[in-house]
Amino acid sequence: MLYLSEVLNTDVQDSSDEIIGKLTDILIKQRAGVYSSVDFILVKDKKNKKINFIPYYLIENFGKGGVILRTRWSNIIEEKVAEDEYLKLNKDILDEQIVDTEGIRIVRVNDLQLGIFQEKMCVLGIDVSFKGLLRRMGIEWIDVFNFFKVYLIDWRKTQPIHGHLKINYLADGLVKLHPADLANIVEKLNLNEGILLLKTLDNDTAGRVLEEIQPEIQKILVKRLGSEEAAEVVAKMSIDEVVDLMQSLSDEEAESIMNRLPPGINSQRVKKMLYYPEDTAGGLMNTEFMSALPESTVEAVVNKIKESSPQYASILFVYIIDKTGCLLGVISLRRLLIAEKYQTMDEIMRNLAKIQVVDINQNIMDVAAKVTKYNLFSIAVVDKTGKMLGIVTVDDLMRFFLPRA
Amino acid sequence: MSKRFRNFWPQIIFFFSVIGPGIIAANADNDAGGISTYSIVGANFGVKMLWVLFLITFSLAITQEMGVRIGLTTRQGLGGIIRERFGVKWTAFAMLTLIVANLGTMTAEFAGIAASLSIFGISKFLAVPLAALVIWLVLYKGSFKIAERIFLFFSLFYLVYIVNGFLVKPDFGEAMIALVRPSIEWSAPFLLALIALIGTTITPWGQFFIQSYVVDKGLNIKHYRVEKAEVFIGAFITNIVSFFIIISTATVLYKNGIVISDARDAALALKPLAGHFAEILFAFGLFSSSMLGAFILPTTTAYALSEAFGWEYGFNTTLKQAKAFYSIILVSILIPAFLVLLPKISLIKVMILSQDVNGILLPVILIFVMIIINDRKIMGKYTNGWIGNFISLATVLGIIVSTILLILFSF
Repeated sequence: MLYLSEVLNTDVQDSSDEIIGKLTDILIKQRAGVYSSVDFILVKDKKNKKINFIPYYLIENFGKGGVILRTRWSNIIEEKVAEDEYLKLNKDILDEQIVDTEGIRIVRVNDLQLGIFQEKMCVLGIDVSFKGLLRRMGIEWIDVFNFFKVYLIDWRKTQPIHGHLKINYLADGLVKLHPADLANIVEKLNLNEGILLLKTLDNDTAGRVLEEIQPEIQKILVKRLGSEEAAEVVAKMSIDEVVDLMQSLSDEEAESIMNRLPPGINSQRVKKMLYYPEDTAGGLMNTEFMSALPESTVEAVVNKIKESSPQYASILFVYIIDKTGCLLGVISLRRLLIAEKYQTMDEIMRNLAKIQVVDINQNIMDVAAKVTKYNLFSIAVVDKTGKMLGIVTVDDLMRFFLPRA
Repeated sequence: MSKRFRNFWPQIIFFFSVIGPGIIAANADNDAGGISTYSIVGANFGVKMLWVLFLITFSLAITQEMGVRIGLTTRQGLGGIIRERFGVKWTAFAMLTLIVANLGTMTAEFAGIAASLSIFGISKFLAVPLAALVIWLVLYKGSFKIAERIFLFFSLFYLVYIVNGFLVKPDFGEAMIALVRPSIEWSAPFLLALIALIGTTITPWGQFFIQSYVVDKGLNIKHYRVEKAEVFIGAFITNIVSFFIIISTATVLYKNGIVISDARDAALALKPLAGHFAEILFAFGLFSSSMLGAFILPTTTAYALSEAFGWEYGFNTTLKQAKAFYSIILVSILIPAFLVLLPKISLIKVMILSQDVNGILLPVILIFVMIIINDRKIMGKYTNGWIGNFISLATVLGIIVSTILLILFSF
């Protein structure tokens, strides 16, 4: 078993057994779900103190005692290496924080385990144990009774955050994490790392992650991202979350982001929602809901749901509204499923008289009371004229009462 | 309701919520070690050391401001930054320094608890284990913030020293001159008191605490001006209080040749204000501030170490998730509690000497902080200006020189 700490700063000899310098770093390319192979080593020439990139195929022996090259030092031609594309194990990984995608937590890299995998020298694991710390300090012998155990995390299950990152470098496991877990990770990272991680996610995921982040930190992240990039991410957040975020920013900052929102998102709606107080139905509501006209058939509505499903965070009900936008009734997905294809909405819907709605200005406590009393998953929000403006879901209410969960 | 008006309350609340780290850290400076050191400084040397207090007010303000700035720019605690900037070995060194200093201060807090309760006739063999248990339970249950607020409120008691400072009718003219005119006694006791005075005012834990605090609160560089003001005000207030403690003891004790050998003697300084209640008042204040410190210190150690070595931490974790974090807290409580329970130990001496340990170790931490805050890669455009560097460097050198002198004069 070989550890990075055991090879760093060891002597590098060429084929004539002459010591030419010391190993200062190792370059790898990180790809999702594979053990990264060692591509280059950095050797600090002891004569002119210059750092040289030596490709791994020129290495004869690589181990605890040091590195021996296959050729003579003078035969090595200087290589141009696009450093940006590589991660440096010593500079970018060691001592830094990484995301353990399996344990869903952030750990600090105490050491790295190297080894042969498929005939290549690869990074196999990350040592996060106390034993690793002792080894790094050169006092592993202290642990005579082997009291501390080495604890390794599989390299493929981790996500480095430092160094140069590109989207395709993201670990598989990381993308599969729930946005809420990712949000917890971003919150725990320091600002620069958090931003980096957020930037490497695709906008869709980034938007969902940002939604889940604590309001104060959300604010800081958005400001750091700059309005250009923030707008792209914010556009993917649900409207009510955007509204909350905008309310927490200063007028100019909010303005600047709002103006950059892509046309797809209805910034007019966000602006309108900014005027409803936070603790009312209007402030909390989500203006994205599935609606249909009373004369539509079940088949047409089901097709519409299939097409537009990706736009909505969730669809539990279809709201039936007339041409002026007034709410007439509601149909649950279940009712829709068991209805015949040719039936029209007004035949199967629950009438307005039988359902619960809340006024746009109604206090959150009243909304919550109603939702609880009638066991609702979501409730329609209407204005005085009966026009449907949005829905408040149980999720929205939970988020309101437990903002930090 | 208009948008403007709706923003009014959040703004007010925001203002009060930002007021925090600077004031808390400054207030916790007047803990067991603080109050006993200031009392001894006044009782043994009169107003002679006021000039040091004057100078370190600036040092305190500047170093705390640096901690705030690093926290706001990086949103990371000092432990983590040291690890990333300096690697494992230096981190181990810095952490060892912090552990020793913090264990010392924690011992002082327990000594403070024991000394204050002994005024009420409660034996330390009852007081200390009980206090240790309470501290552990509060921290373990995650009620740190509430406890912090309660004892912060109680430790406002120190403001009585300001009133008292006027009642004892000190020679303000003499005090003012002493503030700006350096005078030194070339003796070990004087240097020991001087280092303790610096070490109790500017502390290693204070550096870690304030940085973690701004990070934890989710503040960012936008709040910098408010935070800076708060830190400066905090430094000023705490040292105003220290000033009055010193002139109180200088007038009541020093001028009458009374030497402080236990907490009762220190309480005498409050006689002009509280008469027969002086002892009770003093005991109450000492107890509150010792408790405040006793909550903060284990927490600071545990945060710094966990962050530096990559262990899970924070009070929203469970014991199972964050074994290392809670173990550090537990050990940080148990060892000092045990030390104070040693039969023949002098509580007052513990309180002073622990501050000397703090003072002597402080340069180590300050040098780390200075390198970090001047690193453009970490701080971007928020690196230190020359005033900050000058004052912190002068502080570091001042302590090192005093330490060397102390060693020389001890033989």
